[in-house]
Amino acid sequence: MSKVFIRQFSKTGISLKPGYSTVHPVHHLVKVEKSNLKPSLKELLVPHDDITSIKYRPYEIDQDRIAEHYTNTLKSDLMLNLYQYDADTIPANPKRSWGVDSPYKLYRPLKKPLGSIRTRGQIKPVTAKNIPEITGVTVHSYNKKALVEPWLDITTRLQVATLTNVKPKQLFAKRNLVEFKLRKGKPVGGKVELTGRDMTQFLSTLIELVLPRIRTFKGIKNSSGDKKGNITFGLTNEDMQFFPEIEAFQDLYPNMNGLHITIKTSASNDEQARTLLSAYGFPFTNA
Amino acid sequence: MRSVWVTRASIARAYSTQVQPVISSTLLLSRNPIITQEPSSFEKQFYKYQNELWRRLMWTFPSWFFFKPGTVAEQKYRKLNKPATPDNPNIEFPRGRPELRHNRDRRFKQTISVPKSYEDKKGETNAASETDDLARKIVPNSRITEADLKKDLASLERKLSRTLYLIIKEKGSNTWKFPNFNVPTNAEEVSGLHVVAEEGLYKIGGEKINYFNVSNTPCHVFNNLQENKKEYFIKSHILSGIFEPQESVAEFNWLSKEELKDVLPAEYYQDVSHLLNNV
Amino acid sequence: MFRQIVNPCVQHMSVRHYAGKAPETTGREVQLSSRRVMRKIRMGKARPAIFYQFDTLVELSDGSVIRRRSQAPKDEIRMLADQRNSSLWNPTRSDLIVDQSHTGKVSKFRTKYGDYDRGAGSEETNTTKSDLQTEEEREQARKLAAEREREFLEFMGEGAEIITHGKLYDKKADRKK
Repeated sequence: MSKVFIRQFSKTGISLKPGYSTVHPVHHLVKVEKSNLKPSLKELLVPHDDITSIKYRPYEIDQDRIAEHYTNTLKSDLMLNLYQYDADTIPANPKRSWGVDSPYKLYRPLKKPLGSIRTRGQIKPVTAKNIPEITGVTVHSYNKKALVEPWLDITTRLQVATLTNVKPKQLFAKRNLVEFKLRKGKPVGGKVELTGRDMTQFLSTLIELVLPRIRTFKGIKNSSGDKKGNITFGLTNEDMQFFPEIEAFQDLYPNMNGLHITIKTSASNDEQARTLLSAYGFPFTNA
Repeated sequence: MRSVWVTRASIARAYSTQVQPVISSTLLLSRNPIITQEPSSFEKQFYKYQNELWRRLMWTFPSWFFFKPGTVAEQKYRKLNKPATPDNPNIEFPRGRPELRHNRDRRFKQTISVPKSYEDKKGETNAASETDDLARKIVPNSRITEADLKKDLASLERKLSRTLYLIIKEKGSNTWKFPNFNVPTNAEEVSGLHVVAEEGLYKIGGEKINYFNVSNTPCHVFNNLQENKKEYFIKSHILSGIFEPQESVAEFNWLSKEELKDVLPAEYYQDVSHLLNNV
Repeated sequence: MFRQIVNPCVQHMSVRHYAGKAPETTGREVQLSSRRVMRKIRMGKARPAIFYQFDTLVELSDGSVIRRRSQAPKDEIRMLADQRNSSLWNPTRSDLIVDQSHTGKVSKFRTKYGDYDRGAGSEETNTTKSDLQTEEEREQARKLAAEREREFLEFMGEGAEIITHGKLYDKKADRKK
């Protein structure tokens, strides 16, 4: 008698294996907000525009002179001025693919757009629905002296807060560069994003009070702009004294720092944005 | 459907049988609002409510930053702003205990009065010094001007918060209208609609006008069937200067939209009313 | 006892602040208290950042008044120079003084001899315009004009003559060659 052993597949393994779920884990994908879980933070769940919320902040605090001027006068003028007969949508000029015939081309960073370095969105004809308007203003103050003297970062943010009436966000150095004394994570100034009444007041201050008093100011350069309707210009630290807040209390702000001001518009190209801004009273120059 | 076809055909026939319509450009010259609008009573109340909420939520005024201790300015400031009552455990406060932080009672909004930057001259009423003195108090100008009181319709300084439009009455005519100029028909003199409007403005109103043409494109066309005219509207703003009526103009007025409704012929007004600013 | 504990702590802080090499002064020194400890605001307790703001009336140079919200404790501001009398914003206005410091050589020259060409003609029109002017005044004006001409020629140097043709020297064009 010979015994024949027929080898069988192991059955114990399956029961011992931990097994896996075909359902993807949800808890790793959902961002947990502490306020959603902790009962003592219940009041944070109230939406911020609710008056009972602790974060509530009134915005429409008075009549907005500049915004009214835009809706009453500028809007219809801009629509007529930017009207083009029989205009078609000009397609966007995005970054281009190198091709799909090899994995190298497929995963290579995209080629720069045709005839340009920067991309451009599509340009739609201006109708009553897409009249360009100013959507926001970014005031950005980078103080490189703050790398050596850390307290200058505080004065820079104080200065931005004084000029805009909005608490600025802290800016940090992004990378290590020995030659510029940059260390990643070092505080180097502040920036604010202005909208609504704070924005219109800052704009009117610039147009009516500050820029006309800068002797060297001949207008914003026509070359300024990112091709998508956002226009940037700068003010030096000597120009800061013309802001009425600082003019009267110059001894309180001994270390002024310049600003980068970006005016963000809903215009689809820089030319429309320049038309819009010159309607507000910003002069432009070729020089 | 049938009726539409009929009317279209009739128009086409009218043009084909009659002479070609005269092309002309009409100048819609407006004076933009100079001051802000008067808010409605609801808006006023809404803004007041929001403003008070905003003032209540404000952070404490950093007086130590603006008025350095030991300076004359700080003394003046302290004179104007009395310190709040501190919380004393021995005293009973029937309206609740004060919550002082940085010399400010947190229960209420903070109201700071600042030293006046002008000289208070209550007794004196010298007109000359009032206008020239740089240290006088700033008082916003009146929203109602002399022209409003006199009801001078030809003045550019009336109704400062409204958009005003120029209308004229030509000599020998009895109807008000926007200034209208025919485009010359001979081939040498023919020019753009906006050029005709610009030149025409100087002809009727003198050359002391500084204006801005919004666009070379007309914003509207009015089919004047009585005179067989196509009137293209060119939008323009007067920026500065004065309209001085020349010989061809009998009368001129600067009127707002409501006033135009009473003055212009009803059919004409209905055709152009959408061009006029409600503000 | 308590004092003794506290004091070294403060000293330590200040020592740490000035330790090592002397701080490079990139700006004017500002007194910042090293003892100030920021109070931590607990989660859910932070109020929105609304700075205390004053309503400031600003009178522009043409007399119009605007209201601004400002953190600076000022009730009113009177502007002497702004958009309303800036030549860049008002190119059509001739009454605005062109923004010149009147200290430069060129501006000095312009103020003195700017109307040299028009001198003779304008003198004539002036005298014809105002018939009430006496003979003496006319004589004086004539003398003044003559004096100006003499001064101008003196200023230009000997043998000066006005060149009416030819090209001006252009530095950029020269460099290109």
